[in-house]
This record gives sequence, C-alpha cells and structure tokens, in this order.
Amino acid sequence: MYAEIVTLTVMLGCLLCIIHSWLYRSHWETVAFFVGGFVFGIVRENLVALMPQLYTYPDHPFYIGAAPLMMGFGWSASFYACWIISGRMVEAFAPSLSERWWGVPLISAINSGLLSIPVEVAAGASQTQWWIWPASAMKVLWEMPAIVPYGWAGAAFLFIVFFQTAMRRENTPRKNALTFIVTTLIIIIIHLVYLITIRTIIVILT
Amino acid sequence: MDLAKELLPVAAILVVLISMALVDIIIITDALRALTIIPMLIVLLLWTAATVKVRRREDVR
Repeated sequence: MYAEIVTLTVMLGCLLCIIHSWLYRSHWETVAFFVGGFVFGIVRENLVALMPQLYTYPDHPFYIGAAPLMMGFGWSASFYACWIISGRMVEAFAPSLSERWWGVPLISAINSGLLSIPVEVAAGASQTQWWIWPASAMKVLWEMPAIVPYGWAGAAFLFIVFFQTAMRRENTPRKNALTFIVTTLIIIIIHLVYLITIRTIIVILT
Repeated sequence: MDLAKELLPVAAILVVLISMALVDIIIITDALRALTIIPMLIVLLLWTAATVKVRRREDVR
C-alpha cells in the first residue's frame, strides 16, 4: 500500500543525484553509475524473487519482471549520495583513508547501512508492506531484519569499489563505462553470496 | 561556494529521510519509528562539520 510514495521518493532522490553527477562529474561516469545502478537494481531484484529466504515485493505500481521499477533507481541513489558525503567526511577527518582503495567505499558502506534503517522500518509495517521479509527472518527493529544494514552496506561497498576500479582503467571513458555496466552482473552475484553468508552467520549466532 | 555541488546529494538523502518520517507519523501512526532517521541526521551533521573544515582549510590557502 502507498507504494507510490516510496517510488516517487526514490525517483526524486535519484534525479537529484543524476543532476549532481552530470554537472560535476564526466558524462560517461554518470552514465556508468546510473545505468549500472539500474541494471544492478532490476537484475538483482529479479534474482531475489527466486530466493524464498529473502523478501518479496507485492503491490507496486510498475514492474520490470518481478522487480519494481523504483529498484532501478533506489540502489544507485543511495550509493551515490552516501559516496559523495563520505568522500567529504574522509577528506576532512581522515585524509589518509582516501589513498586506500577501500577507504571511501568503507565509510560509504557504513553510511548506506545507517540510511537503510528508516527506509526498512517504514517499508515493513502492515500499513505499507512495500517489501515483505519471510517470518523466518530475525527481526531487530519493528519489522526490520538484522541482515538489512549489512546488506545495504555490502552492496554500497562492492558497487563503489568496482566503479572506482573501472573508471581508473586506461581505456576510453566510453569503454570504461560499458565495462562497469557489464561488471554490475558480477557485483550482483558477489552480493547475493555475501547476503546468504551473513544470513547463515545470523542464524548460527541466534 | 557552489551550493548545488555541495547540497544536491544531501538533498537526496533529506528527501528520503523526511518522506520516511512522514510515512511513520501519518500513515503508520507510530511517531517512535521516525526516530530511526536520527543516525543519518548525525551523519549529515558530521558532513556539515567536514564541509566547514574543508572550506576553512581552502580559505587559509
């Protein structure tokens, strides 16, 4: 119910990020990040629909396969916004971290994990049910399962590390962008394996 | 200072936080849930402090 709210929120957030990237980064980087994010979101959520231990999406206004259209925008918006603010925080408070390949992606992952909390708490309520986790998921905050912040953080870390690596390759910007968009399929596989591992650890610990 | 460069990604985060808090309060009618935006608001405070620090460093140069 009210899935239009989360759809419009996510699309507006993503639009602001796309405008920022188009104005202040190269156009091919923008294409890579947001087309890559769209591919990541739509393909990943179609695979998630095949995994009963993860969540399902009932009652959204638009779908591509089993994935709500908004998921083509949601992941990349959260990755981009958290990446940009994390870059600033590292620049100010821990500049030495910016020289390490994992520095800014790690802070982006933590921030993305924190951003997940209000979204998931609103998404899982009986009045909204934008996505529904199975009863077996260990809930820690209202309907939010323990795995959620780790899932968002892991996705942000992988996406940004792969993006930075692809953009630094000594090819044309167009070739780097296309390489990254294809690489998102590998990120999806790594992230789903990571999620299943985290879920198994949570089950063992509880 | 280029305000759009500084504020567009922060605005994207604020859109999400405000929207989710309003959903918590108006649709779910559980205002306690809206407190879950606090960790991210602290992150945005840290980002503000970071931006001020970087700007001051650049002004000194």
